[in-house]
Amino acid sequence: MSNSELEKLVKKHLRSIAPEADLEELSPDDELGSALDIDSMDFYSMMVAISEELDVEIPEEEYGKLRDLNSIVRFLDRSGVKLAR
Amino acid sequence: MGEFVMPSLGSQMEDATLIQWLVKPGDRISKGDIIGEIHTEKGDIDVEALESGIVRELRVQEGDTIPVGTVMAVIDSEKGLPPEHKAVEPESERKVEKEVSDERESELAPPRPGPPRPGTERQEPPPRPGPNGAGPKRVKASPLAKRVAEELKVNLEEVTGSGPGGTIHKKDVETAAKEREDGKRPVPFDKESMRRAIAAVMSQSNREIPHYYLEKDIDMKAVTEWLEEENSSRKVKERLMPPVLMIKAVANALAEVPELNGYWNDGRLQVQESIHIGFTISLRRGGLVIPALMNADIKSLDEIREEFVDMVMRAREGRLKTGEIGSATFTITSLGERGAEKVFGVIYPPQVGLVGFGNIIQRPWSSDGMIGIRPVMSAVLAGDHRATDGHSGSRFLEILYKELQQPHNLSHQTPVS
Amino acid sequence: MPEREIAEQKMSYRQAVREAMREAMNRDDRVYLMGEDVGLYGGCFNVSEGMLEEFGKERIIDTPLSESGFTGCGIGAALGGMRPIVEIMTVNFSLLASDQIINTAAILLHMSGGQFNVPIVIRMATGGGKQLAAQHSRSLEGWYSHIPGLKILTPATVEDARGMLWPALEDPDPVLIFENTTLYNFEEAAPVNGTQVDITSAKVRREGSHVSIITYGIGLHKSLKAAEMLSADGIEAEVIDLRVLRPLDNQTIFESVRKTHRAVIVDEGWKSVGLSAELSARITENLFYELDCPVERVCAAEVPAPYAGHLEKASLPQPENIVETVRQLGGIYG
Repeated sequence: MSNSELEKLVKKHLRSIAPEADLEELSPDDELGSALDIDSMDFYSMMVAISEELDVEIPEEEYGKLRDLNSIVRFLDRSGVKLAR
Repeated sequence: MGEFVMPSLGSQMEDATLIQWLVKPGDRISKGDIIGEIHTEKGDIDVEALESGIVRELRVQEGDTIPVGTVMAVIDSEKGLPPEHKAVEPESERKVEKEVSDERESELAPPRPGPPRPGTERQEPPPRPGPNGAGPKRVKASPLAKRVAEELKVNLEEVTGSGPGGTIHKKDVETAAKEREDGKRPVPFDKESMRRAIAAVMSQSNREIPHYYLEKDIDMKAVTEWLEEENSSRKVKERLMPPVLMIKAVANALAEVPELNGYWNDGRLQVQESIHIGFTISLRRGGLVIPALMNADIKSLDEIREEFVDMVMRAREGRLKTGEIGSATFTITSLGERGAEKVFGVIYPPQVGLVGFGNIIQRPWSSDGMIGIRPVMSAVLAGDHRATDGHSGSRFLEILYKELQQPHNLSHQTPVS
Repeated sequence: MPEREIAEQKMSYRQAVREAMREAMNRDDRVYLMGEDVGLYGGCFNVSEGMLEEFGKERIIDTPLSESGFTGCGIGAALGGMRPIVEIMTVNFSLLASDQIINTAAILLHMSGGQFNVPIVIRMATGGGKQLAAQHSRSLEGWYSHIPGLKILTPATVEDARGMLWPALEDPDPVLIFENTTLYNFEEAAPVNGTQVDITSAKVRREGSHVSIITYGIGLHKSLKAAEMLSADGIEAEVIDLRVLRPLDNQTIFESVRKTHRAVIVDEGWKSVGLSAELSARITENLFYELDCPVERVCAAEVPAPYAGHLEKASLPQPENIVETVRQLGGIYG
């Protein structure tokens, strides 16, 4: 799965928790919490959804570092997720 | 025979609107089943059956707005009725009918089945398949509204009705058509009424409750480290988060300082035996709801986690259950992840206490004669000075502090000390 | 006479009825008045005061207390070529004459194969609101309007009280005129002498676009008051005075409801099986797809009229009830 595909997937989940947010304006290194006004519970439910969709485990030490689009995409890329078609 | 009444979801709630029934007469229900959906100022709420049995009668129409305490449904309890109870049924039914409809003429009413004879099986209509067997929601629109909707090609199911009980009238259809043209879709969420509800309850609190505030910074090193360790072996979905520990720690502290766990009613403190921890959840579209985690003192961390996550999700979807709203005995508010370090909360009447947690931040901290950097969180207790004094509050914060120093003990179900 | 001068300017409903009768009697020798206490006593509601002196006892006839008897006499006189005005003290006592009215006057033309028409006018007071208790306070005009063969008039204005009598007398068939007792003292600037009004149409007494209030008699005045109260609220009610309860003027009613899409019927009669039910049925039968909310009715409570003043008031439609009903109509605001 390419990085742009991963970004697309993350954005899909962001849209479902923050439907009114303008994701076009979101920079890859914007801190998601403040940029989209999502809190830790929103973030948590999104990460649960992503981990379930891609069947990837997110270790505790990584979880805390996932703060923006870039870090999430990089983490997923490193985890070697496969596109589940 | 049990009567199911419109529940009160807080001292400010006067009435609510039935959105839909999910059961019909003859349905067999179990305690805890969702039997209907109501719209309140606090959002849309699922109502739960309080007893098992068979739905005998639905007294309230979908769309009706009715005061708290109104009988909504009559449930025949599972165990069956004592024979003498059955004998009185027709009379009580007649009486109610008279109250409900003054001009309904009894001779025109369809014949009602008589009281069941002892020994004969009661004829019940077959239960509907599935727990949510209700058909599609009927749209109540005036004939003119329907005609106009056809002309303007408006789907009536997407129109918000302004009439009594949400009936749709011509202007509603026109408004919907106009909004469609303007490209904005109406938001069903009633922000204004929630704002009004918050305004009313907070004004009451500030007007009536003499608040006192006590503040204590809590060293969160133990909690943070314990969570990291605990979570390293858990899947994302099963991870514990700080609020879960806080709910548990607060519940344990309340068990030790019961005078903070209660209601101020009729000029006196009524200590509550059960500990139901309300926690504020802010909604994306504005406003907040405070569902309660019931009996948090006797639940395990995992039970609390599961319920907490579920409730937060449902709160944001407007799908809280009646039992979860308005039954808190104490409230936690937390602005945690948003910049503010301390929160001086406003007590939710008739409760007598509330604790506000700030953000966990790295701060210089002296411990064992050394200064180090620690994750620190501020806890501010707001107490109702009519019900308790600073001494109780102080004890509460002290116990809370201790609880959060021994997070491994929180996973036990009993308080530390 | 000084009263004549008053009649040209501002006059009471009572004076209007009297002037109408005087004018008719001056105009047509065949017209005469008979009823209980209409002569020496000047009428139970003082309507015919002075008429005995003016027209003599041949034409102003005091009758015994026998509604069936004198109404029958009137019918006979009408058949014989006279144009009688029979006054029955109140609609409540007309029940004693109901056989003559319903079983004779209303059907003779039909039964005689068109040979005998009955050109009689029967006037009677109707309605409650004066603390006269259950047996004196009925509004049975709607009940009479059930009967084919009768024309039912309910003048609500001084102009109609003044103007409806002559066309009623000209009508070849029986006409019943119902005068609400609470209206006799009502004063209005009356149009000049000899005004002609029709006895076939309903009239829009106040124009509005949000709701049609359909009423008659005293209900008109309560509805107009309610309309003013509603106007302060931004709701413009159209008020229709039925004037004629039989035959009903569908056209005026339907035109109004077609415009406002809402109808509230105000009737001091009872709701059940009454005039308001008939109106509601006609509107829903004919204008169902024009309606933006259910037709509502404001009627008397379904009890015999209470004697106690506050209870009687509560049992009758009041402007506040009308306002409340209109405010709760679906889609009325905005």
